Amino acid sequence: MMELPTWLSSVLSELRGKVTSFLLFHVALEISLALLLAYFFLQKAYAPGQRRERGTPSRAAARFALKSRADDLTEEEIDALCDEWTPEALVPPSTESAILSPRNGASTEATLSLVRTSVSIALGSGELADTETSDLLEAPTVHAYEPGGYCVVQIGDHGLKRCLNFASANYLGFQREPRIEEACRRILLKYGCGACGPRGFYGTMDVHLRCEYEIAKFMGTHEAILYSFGSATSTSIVNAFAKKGDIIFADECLHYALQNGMQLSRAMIVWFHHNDPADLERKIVAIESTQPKSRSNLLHRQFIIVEGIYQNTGMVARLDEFAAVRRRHSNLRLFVDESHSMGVLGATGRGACEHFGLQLGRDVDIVVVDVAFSLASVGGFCVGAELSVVDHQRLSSAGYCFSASQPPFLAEAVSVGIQLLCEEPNRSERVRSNAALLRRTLREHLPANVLVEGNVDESPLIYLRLSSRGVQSLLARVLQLVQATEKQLRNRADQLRSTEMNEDGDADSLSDSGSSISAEATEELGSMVTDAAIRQINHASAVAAAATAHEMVIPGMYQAGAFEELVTERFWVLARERLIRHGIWASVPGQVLTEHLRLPPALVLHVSASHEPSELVQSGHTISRVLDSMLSAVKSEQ
Amino acid sequence: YSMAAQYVSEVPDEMYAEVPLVAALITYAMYAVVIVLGYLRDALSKILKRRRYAMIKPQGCAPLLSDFEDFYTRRLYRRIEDCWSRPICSAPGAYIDVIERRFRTPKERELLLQKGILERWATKPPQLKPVELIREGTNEVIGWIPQAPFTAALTYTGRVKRCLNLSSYNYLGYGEVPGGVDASVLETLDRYGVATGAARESGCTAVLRELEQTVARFVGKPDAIVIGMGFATNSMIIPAIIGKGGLIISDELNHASIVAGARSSGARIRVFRHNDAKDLERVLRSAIAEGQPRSHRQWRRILVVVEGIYSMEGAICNLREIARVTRKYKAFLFVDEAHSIGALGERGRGVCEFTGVDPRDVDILMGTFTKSFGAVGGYVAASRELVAHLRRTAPGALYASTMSPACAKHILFAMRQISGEDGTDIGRRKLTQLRENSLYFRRRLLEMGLQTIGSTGSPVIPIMLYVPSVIAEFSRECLKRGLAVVVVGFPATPLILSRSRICISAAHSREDLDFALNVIEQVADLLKIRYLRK
Repeated sequence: MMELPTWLSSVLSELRGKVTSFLLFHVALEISLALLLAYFFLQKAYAPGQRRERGTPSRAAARFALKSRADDLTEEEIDALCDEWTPEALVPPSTESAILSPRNGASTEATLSLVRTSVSIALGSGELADTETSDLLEAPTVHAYEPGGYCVVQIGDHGLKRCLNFASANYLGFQREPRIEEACRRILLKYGCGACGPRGFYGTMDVHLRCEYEIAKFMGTHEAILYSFGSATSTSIVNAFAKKGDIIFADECLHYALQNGMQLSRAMIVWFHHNDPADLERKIVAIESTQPKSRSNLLHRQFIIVEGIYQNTGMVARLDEFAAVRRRHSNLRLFVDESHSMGVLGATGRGACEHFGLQLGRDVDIVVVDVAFSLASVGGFCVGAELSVVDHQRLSSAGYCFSASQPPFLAEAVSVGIQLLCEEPNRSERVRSNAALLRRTLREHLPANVLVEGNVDESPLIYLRLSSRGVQSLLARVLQLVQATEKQLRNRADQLRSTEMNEDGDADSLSDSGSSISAEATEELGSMVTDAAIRQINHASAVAAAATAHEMVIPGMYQAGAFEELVTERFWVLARERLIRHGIWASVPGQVLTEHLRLPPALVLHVSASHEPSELVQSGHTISRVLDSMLSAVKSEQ
Repeated sequence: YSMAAQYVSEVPDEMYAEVPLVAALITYAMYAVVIVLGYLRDALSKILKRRRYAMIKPQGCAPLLSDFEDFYTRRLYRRIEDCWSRPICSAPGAYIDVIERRFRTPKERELLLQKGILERWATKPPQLKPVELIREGTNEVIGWIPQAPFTAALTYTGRVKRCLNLSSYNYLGYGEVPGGVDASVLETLDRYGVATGAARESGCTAVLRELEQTVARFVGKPDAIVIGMGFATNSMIIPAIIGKGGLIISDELNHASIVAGARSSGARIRVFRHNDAKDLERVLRSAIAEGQPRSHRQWRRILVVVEGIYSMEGAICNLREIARVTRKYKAFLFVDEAHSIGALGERGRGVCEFTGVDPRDVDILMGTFTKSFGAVGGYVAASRELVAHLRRTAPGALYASTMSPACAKHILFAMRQISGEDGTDIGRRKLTQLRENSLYFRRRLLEMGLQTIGSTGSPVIPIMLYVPSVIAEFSRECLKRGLAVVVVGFPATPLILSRSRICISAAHSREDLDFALNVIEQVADLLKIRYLRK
């Protein structure tokens, strides 16, 4: 045999030593693979449709589940059941009528119009009564937005009115900002309107990447994630991180998107009183005492979810105290929604975290922002301290993966807006001073029964609500009118019946009674409206008696009855209609319902940096004058 | 494939994927290998403490991600993540400029990670320098993008490659309108600005109301409501249509937005087999007979939810049968026409026109504007009373900001052109071009022996790949040859049914399609995916 060169034989021997260990590893790998393959083949073969349909219980559960009725019924019996079953109407009776008479079925639309007309008559807004058509239920149309925070709003069918815009949130005055619109026009000409695909399938454009870069630079993190729609942002993010078994400590007045995300995430939700860190700490301690220190509990995540400035109340969160509570207890992450505070609070406009000196990573973990409010675009973004916060959302956040990406020109509006904010930080100071100015003028001139909500004057989100004494006087006045109209209609109905005996009196003699109430409506009117109204008025007067002169409506305490809510909402809708005539366009936000708390209807003013201080003072006076005239109309008739 | 036959198809045919045994075996074996190797590497890195950067989290806090969720991303998805989220720097038209990326070498990544963790880059503005974009073949700089974050596995080389676009839903070519956008869109931008910054209650612009009337007329319903995002249209409107005490019977392969809407509505959810009216009838009968769980009280309402075209299957809904069964059992029908509005039917009116069903028989017609109209947002068209109810109570109307007026005007422009209201026949020509392209492309693919699924008239043509390694290779090889395609694997599709989804557009010319077919043929030979070859 040929003598092998020495270097070759040493290599071979060395190899021989390695080969055996390699063989061992290889064999072990093959065996484990074979076992895995066997496991897969023992699985029920996958075929769409044959496998257990998701609705039916699994085999184990089936053994214990109640015998399903459908199994032991004959086909004929099932046919009979199907024929008998009649579904409710697709369109439920309008919520107002459901509120009025929840027990004895829906009252007619006539009853509703009776209450609406009585409220408008009560508020002495006779001239509005003629436009008292159903379209008041739908907000007026906006025909144009103009620089300086103005807009053109439609009144009635074709009248247009140029108003100062307090309805759109435009805190930094970026709406109709020429530099932003110029950039958007360039992007529209180059990229067209939409992105025609989700971010994963060629929907990511260089404009999106540049926008995420600007956001990351502004918020001081290595990476940011951009969403195409604001309300889907917070819903998807809460849903992406909180899972079954996790615990969320949530503020009572969180806006709908956050609540929807929590509901979808199936985590355990613990509500704490609005903007109250002490109550939060009580709840945390209570939970910690009940949770045994098992390993699985350590693996469960716990979040505290608050908003920098609360969208539903305009209050600035006590973030420093929330962060302190977080530091005192373990396994807590602080999740802050800075939609209304970004660009407004903080020396350089970076939001409530900068305002309270909190650092992303040390005190706050996840920050979410809806850009519709201070950056005047459509969409949202999120930044996080941990490396996996943004990475995880790219694959697991439904609003990011399963939705088309943001139109490029809206992303450009966000990045140019952020550059502008960095160049002109005085916009933040201007919106804060404007907000304080308008709040002061309103507080001085508003009638006693109207409250200006908010704990900090600089918050640009101003909620005007009726105090309990105001609501009580309004309700009493409306009840008087309803009873008066009812008495008038009842004896009309008796006359009608008596005339019917001898000859067929024309039914429309009733129609000239000021409100088109048909005969049968009066019977149904009966006592149903009145006793509901009386019960709530007694409640309102009890609350009014207890309340001090300038009490603040504490949301936790507010237990409104449905009739009271309907009347107060009509009050604010009519107030907004009248304010439009005076050139002020405010908003009455949709009924804010959380499953355990209802906030009283309110008129909302969004202050902007592009509003002139003189205009603000003048509109403060106008608002006070209008509300004063409406409330005095109520008082004078008593 | 006679052209006329495809205008109205009573019962849309549907080809199902028959998984060859060999492909199934290889798929299971591959996943097994990758999973075992993944757990081995995890164990090793735990022992050698090498995976430091993932461990950085607020002290005393539970890890943010459950281990398996992180495992799939780390050990399976990251291996082939260059096939997704490819950035482009042009309009999503027939051709797109794809920005090239490459994997960072392990040493490069390790250096970046260590530097990033040491200097706490996580809470510092991006530290890496932006990249200049240069078109391939020339040295003309056409823009810049930021460098990928230090944790990313892929980095940008700066080269830009022009590719034929078979991936975006751009069915009627409104993703790239000649001259960027129509002049009316720019006028709307001058009149209204970029966005309204308000919910529908105080941000309902005249353009939006006009769009709602036009959509209602286009779809054949009395009234419609428009929401600013397609996903949010389902997730924020379904809770107002049906609530507690109701039952939603949803197709097995419905979109994630429908599932989100159904889950947040509080109604019970039952599922029926994909596009199978008999199975729907079985579920309906057992549901009505059984009533609500435990209490056996009657259901207040039953809502059947189906889609016009299923985006991952390319299958057209068997609407005629499903509508008949739904009407027979007095349930309400909700059709999500996200992909079919504008793409199906002789006049582009969607699946109702294609299957010959009267829109009045469908209670709620929902759809989106992102696909055939190249914009963003969605609509729900129904009876006047239901839409009024939705405007007053639906979260989508009360709490979501309204659509940007410029987008609404772009949709109006596209819709008028499709329906021919603007006096031109551009819309009609686009619709016929889309149908011819779809039929031609599907026929050629079948002749090539590739397994395509879905219905014949549908512009969405999935090509079955089955084997996981082919997912990545198919996408990379096509990109190398100048063809941008979308590949989809687990978990978006079942484990052994991974596929590539082709979206045909009216903007594609016959030469474009032939170029694409040529490329696909070369790649199919390379990867041996001609499963149907005789």
